[in-house]
Amino acid sequence: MKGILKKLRKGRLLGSSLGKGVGLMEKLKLFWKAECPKCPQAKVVGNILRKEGLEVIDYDIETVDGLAEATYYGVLSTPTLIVEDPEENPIADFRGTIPSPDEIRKILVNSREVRKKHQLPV
Amino acid sequence: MGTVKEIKKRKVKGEDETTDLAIFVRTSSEDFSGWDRQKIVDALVRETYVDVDTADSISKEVQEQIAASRISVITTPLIRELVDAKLIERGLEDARRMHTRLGVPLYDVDQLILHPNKENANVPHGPEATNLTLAEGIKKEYALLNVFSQEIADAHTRGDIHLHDLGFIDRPYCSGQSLEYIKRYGLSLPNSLSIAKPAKHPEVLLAHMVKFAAALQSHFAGAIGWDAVNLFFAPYLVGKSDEEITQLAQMLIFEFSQQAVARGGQAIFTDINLYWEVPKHFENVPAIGPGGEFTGKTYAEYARESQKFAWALFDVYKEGDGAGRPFFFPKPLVHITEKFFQTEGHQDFLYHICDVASEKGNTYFVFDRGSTAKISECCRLSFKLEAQDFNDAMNPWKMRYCALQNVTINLPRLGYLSNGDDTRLFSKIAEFMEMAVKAHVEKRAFIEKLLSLGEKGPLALLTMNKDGEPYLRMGRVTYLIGMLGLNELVKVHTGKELHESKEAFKFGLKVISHMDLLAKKLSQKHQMRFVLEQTPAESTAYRFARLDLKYHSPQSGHTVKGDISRGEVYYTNSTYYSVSAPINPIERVIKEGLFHPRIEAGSLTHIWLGEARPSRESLANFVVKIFRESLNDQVAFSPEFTTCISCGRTSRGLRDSCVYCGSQDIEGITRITGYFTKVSSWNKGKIGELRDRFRNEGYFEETEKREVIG
Repeated sequence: MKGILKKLRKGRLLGSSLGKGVGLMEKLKLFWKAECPKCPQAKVVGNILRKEGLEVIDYDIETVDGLAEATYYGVLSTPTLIVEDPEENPIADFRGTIPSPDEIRKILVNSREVRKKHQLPV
Repeated sequence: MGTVKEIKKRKVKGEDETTDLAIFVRTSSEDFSGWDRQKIVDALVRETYVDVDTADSISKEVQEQIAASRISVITTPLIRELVDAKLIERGLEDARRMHTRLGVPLYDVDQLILHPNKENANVPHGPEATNLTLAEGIKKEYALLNVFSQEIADAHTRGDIHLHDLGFIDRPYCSGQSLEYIKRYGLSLPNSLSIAKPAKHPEVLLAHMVKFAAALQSHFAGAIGWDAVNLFFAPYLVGKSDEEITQLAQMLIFEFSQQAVARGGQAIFTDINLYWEVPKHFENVPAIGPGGEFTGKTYAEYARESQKFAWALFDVYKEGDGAGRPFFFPKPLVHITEKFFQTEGHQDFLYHICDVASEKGNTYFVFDRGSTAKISECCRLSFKLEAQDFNDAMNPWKMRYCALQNVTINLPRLGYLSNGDDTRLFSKIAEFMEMAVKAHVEKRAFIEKLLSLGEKGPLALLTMNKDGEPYLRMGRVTYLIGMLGLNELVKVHTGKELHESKEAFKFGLKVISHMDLLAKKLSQKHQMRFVLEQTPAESTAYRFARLDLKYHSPQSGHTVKGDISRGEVYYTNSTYYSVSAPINPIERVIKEGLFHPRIEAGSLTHIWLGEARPSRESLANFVVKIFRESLNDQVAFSPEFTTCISCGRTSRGLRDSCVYCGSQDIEGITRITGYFTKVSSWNKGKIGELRDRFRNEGYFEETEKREVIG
């Protein structure tokens, strides 16, 4: 597991999945708004993971698209981070709390292992 | 205003010999007066901005016209119409509007007196109802001509928007009340014949509550909701036996359900909010008891009495009325909160109210998650308590809320107008929202004018000041912006209905999110609180569908729901999934519930049960699941009944004949929008919807089938 995390940190593992096409990527959806003291910190986490190749989508919930997406996921507080599998099924969420990049990495690794086990594309 | 008069015509000698026309006019004071041309001049000068010379010239032309005609019978409305025709000939459109006579054609009055009004199923047929309908008709015309600008009146008439309760233009829309006001101040209403001091006995408090509700019904167009009724009655119930408490519960429900003798023969649309626990915001509030005195205890100390009363109320609901039918009013709204689950006895109470929901359908489950607290009223309208409201809670008699008006937007029409273009659609939504806001600004100005007349004005009751501020606190009112037919808009725009694809569903969320953000922006701009509401749309769903068939055919023909050949057309209410979509109830509750956080003034999901009779356990599990796993604000379960007029018994399901005696003299009963009523009183659109409803028969685990319920 440690080895995988190390690779993940360096962006190699996530980066390698990019080649499989956009449709097969996991996504991290990050919901934020301007007057939210914790949101900048959540964005830092998002940016770290983005640099590693994960598709991170920011949603400002004070815009129509942002609020619509937040409503779809029942987001009631910011920041909220939702991790989705390649089929856009939520696999983890953090509502009002901020995970560390490692927490997200672990979730992705676990999810991929489960998908492999079920012979789903990763 | 005059009515009929006979003319004995003589020739008109000259310009000024008006008296030569021997015409007798029956005036509004039920008297005859002779022909006097000057009266036309006076009326024109008094009622319009027309100058005296023009008025004089018009009056002469009209006089000549009457004299030259061979009319043997003339009416003063006709004279007015002739004058109006002259104003139009001169291009004086504004003057014509100001000089308009409001009234009802003879044929219409005849029809109204003979046939029931189907705009509101809560209005029975009778002389009082006819009075109400006639008065509403005139006030509606008055509102469109004199309260709202031409732009708004036209938008309503076209069906871009719907201005609700125009017939009650001189009243606010609906309100949330606190029993504490009458407990503390007694019943002392402006213009009343007697003044009652604060009640000393529970029965008297109930009498005050019913009378105050009737007074409020005369000052509000819609529902009257009462907060925490069981808790606020509790200090009066100390030491009372179970029998006495049951008796009081019976009195309360029968008093409100049999009020169909009040305004327009209409039962008072009453909601009672009930809590098993003592709500957090009332725990430390000093309780008011008999005589309006503080008891020296807090409400937390009355939990037992409060629970006993709530239990007794549901015993009465479960039994139903004398024929075993469900009570239509008052509607019981039970608040399910985190504290509910921490309060002793909650499981038994949950079973009890689920039993009632299954047997009679009365129970509304209101979900207050986190620190949210609401007062619910009307079909689904609720006021979410904000910081300043929680301050009010320490003086609960101050907890009186009001929505001044509701304006609903015709969403499918926006779809027809924007031809699949997103940009155009979203800008049209903004345009219609701004129209709704303008309508609110105009109504506010009118109500403020009436309120400024103070205790001598028509809204004296709402200006009474017993606690340092007027009963109606204009600074705290909300203005509702409703929506209708999101499902059909999404279908027109994306080709799929809300439940048919994730993209369609997400697009629906985008529309409502846009409306929510706009409402907030417009609130800031106008310093008025605009909030979205799921309009119950009892008649609007039908009206918009008909108007769109007229103005947006053939597109609308593929979109409206119901049966066009029967004229039973409708749009799906508010943000609901199609009523006919075969979706299991939990999915409906979860998916429809996702819209609810955007709709601040309250939302509801209906579960149509048809003939199904779920066990209390299965409903209770379902309710807990809703609380824990969804964001849904409110859920109601609606069974259907057939009551026999011949034998007086009631059976489950909607049938063509009585299962007991075979009589076809039967009445179907079920929920129309937010209340139970007789199906025979429904408008055609709602009948169409009823035919389409997907009944969740077979989903819930059922109790033993029993046919007899009455």
